[in-house]
Amino acid sequence: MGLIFDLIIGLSLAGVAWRIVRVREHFQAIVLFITFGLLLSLAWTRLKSPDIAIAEAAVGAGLAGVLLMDALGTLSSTRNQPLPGRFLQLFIPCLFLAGLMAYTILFIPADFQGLGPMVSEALPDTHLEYPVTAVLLDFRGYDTWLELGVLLVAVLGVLCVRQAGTIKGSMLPAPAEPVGRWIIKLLLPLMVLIGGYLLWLGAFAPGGAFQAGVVLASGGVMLWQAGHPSLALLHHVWWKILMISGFVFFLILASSSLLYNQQFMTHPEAKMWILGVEYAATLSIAICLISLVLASPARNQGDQRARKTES
Amino acid sequence: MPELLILVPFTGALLCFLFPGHIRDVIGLLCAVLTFVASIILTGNIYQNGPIRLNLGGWKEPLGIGMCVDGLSVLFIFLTGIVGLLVSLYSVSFFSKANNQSLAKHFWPLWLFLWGSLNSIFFVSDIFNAYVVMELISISAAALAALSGTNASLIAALRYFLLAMAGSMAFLLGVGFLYAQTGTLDMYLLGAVTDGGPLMAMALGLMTVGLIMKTALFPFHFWLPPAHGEAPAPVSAVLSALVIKGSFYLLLRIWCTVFQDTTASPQTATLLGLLGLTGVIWGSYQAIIQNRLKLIIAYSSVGQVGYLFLLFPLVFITLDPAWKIEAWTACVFQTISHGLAKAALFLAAGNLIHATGTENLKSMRNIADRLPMTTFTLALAGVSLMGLPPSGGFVAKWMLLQSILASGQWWLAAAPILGGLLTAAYIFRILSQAFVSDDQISCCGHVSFVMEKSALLLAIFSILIGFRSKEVIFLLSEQVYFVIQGGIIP
Amino acid sequence: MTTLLIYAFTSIILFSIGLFGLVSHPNLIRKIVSLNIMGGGAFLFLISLAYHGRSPDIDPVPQAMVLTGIVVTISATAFALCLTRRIREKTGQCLLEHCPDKPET
Repeated sequence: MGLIFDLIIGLSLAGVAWRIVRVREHFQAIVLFITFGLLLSLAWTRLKSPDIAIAEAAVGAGLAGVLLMDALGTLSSTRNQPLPGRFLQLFIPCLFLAGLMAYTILFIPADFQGLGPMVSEALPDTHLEYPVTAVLLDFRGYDTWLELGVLLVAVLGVLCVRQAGTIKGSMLPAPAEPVGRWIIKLLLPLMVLIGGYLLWLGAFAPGGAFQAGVVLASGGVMLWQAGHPSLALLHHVWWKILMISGFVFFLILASSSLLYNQQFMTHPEAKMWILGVEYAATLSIAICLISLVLASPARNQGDQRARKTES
Repeated sequence: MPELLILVPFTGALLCFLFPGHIRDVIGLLCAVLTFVASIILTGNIYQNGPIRLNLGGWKEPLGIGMCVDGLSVLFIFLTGIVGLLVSLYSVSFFSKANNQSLAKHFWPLWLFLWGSLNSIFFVSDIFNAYVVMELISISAAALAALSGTNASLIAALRYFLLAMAGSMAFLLGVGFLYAQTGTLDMYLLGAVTDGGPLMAMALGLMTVGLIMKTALFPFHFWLPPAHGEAPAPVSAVLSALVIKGSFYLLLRIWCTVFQDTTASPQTATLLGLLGLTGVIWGSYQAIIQNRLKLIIAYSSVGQVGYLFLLFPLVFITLDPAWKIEAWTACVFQTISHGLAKAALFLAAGNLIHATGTENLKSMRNIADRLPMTTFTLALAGVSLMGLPPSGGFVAKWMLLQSILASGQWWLAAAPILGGLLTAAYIFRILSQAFVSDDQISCCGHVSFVMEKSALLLAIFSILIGFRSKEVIFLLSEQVYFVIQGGIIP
Repeated sequence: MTTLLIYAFTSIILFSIGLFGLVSHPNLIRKIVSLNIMGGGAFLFLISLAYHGRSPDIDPVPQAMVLTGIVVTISATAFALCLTRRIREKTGQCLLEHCPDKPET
């Protein structure tokens, strides 16, 4: 039974991916990509990785979908373009590579262990009960720190490309067609609740800063899509501070370990520390992701252009 | 000490992001000086006391992430420190010019982030960590490449970024293959695995391809000239001198630690050498036929990067250990002297463009009269690129040639010989224009003292490094963490 | 083992399809989508390994790696899309073809 399920997921993933690449209309490709994200989160669930399933559903299908749709924008006029030529010249090398890698896969050792047993052994020393959170925040905390850095740099990069000082510039005015404020009124408290719950859960069960941040970010994007002003009320200095808070928390942690002459990135053995890092990281992830989605140059300029034509 | 090299630039980047106005320049410069000092002290430390390994968070590998600081890393750190400091100095003056003023607020945070992440890639000892750091580098580098905001620069930046992302994905899949075979992510534990199966070979292939895409080796070089040519001068200098060296460093590290005995085959090494050779000739030839100053310098990077890849056939195909170290040192020497000379060239080009208001080589006349210092900088950096004694480039090419002859792979000798001649051709083409006097065209702009001097200092360093070859050889042969097939002592 | 093989094969296929899309499509948005498919393939490979590992729970290290990877990929995607939009605003098309600068007004 499980085998058939696996086969179906595998085949549909491959099929959808192929359609995404070969479909003519860009819009259709994006819709298919969102489907692809949902199928992937199904696969994560099947592979017993609920954390990734949540993150994928919110990021891969949700935020990436919004971003792509936004970017597509007025491009829809160029639909039904002929597919590019040189099909075989490019397809055969890719097929060859796929064959080579597929052959290699047969050599994965059957007694593969991974680091799982080691993590379970060291878990009691971390004051955390859930291994994924322990790996993220403790064993590989350096990666998490740098990953918060990647988010921050992406926001900086977006600001640089837009030649804008703050994200907030593009946040007003809200789009003309609200998704329906009443839905937001209903969904938003729920999303905040889910985000908070995931954050709290992370210490001992699937959940944690990433998932919570991602869910909160989706909520924030929805809020803004509905034309709700609450995000714009946040002063831009606060906006900046929230954006860097997660990164700064890790930075302070790293520097303090230097002061106390300990190894880099060592942290005090206290629950408070874990909580602080988690909250700061959640907020940062949420705010940075919202900024990345909202900082869209075309909308702002499009509005200006629209206003110019009106006058 | 190695921690400071990451913490200081990151802190500076955040402060530059938070504070407005001219405080940014002050913070940026302060951080640059501190990071530079830390780089120098660290280099001295490693030189005297030998390599260090750190476990981050107090967790031993393979559970935690390690950091490794050895002779190879400090040489790259040293290069980054010098180039970083002088580029920062240059930038303060460059971005205070009227038409660049609005760019400073984006430049400083991104550049300091880039600096910090470059430093951390030189300490990397965990392959997944390497992936994250590489993404940090790619995004900040691409954003900086798009800084000037022209159509051409935006397109060039995106082309670079898409390629870099594809390279990262290939690298990540390679990480997966390695993990599948060994169940560990630490480079040194991976190096201890002795049975190199097809999984290891596939991982080697994927990671190598991913990294040479980012390093702009020959068939993947096409993104480099527009991206480096269209950016503002200090950004071009950083991209050409440092960013491509980051991915090259990682490639070197991975080949020497993870794959050296088991997987790295002579055929792959020969192929890389062949691509390097083609790159040297193609890049230098393209540089000769360009008409825009910065494009010439950018194509020259394609050529100079080719030299670095001669290391693979020389080191990984059986050879007397002594010559192996020679080849190995030659290529690292080439990295450093190219980094210094290329940064000097781009900064000097920035001065010229600023003064003459044009990028076209043909209309840059009289500059030897009006900007003698900048012309002198061009000439000095050119000497190092061509490989004339006593510059760093000369030492590198001399050692390279010696080890090529000793290894008996004669065909590789085409690179230093032909490459040197072609390099001379484009350098003299730039210089000959500089000495043409033409009363019609007058050089009007004024170039600030700092901008001229920082370019000049870089060029002088690229010559001076040639006198310090003993120390470099010592760092590379005694103070490193890996063994090159019996050659280098851990 | 069979679960591992099925998902690992799928991941390889996804990676290759993504690569094919990346090189064959001139349109930038489609290229970025293809890159995301490549990333999905790489993540699926890691997780199929995690599932395969012989321990009571599944291996948390690849899971943490994928979580990190997802956030990194969305950041990179957002940045690339921002560049794409800027290029479309300035040149009117989503292609990597060079378009001469209009004189600044």
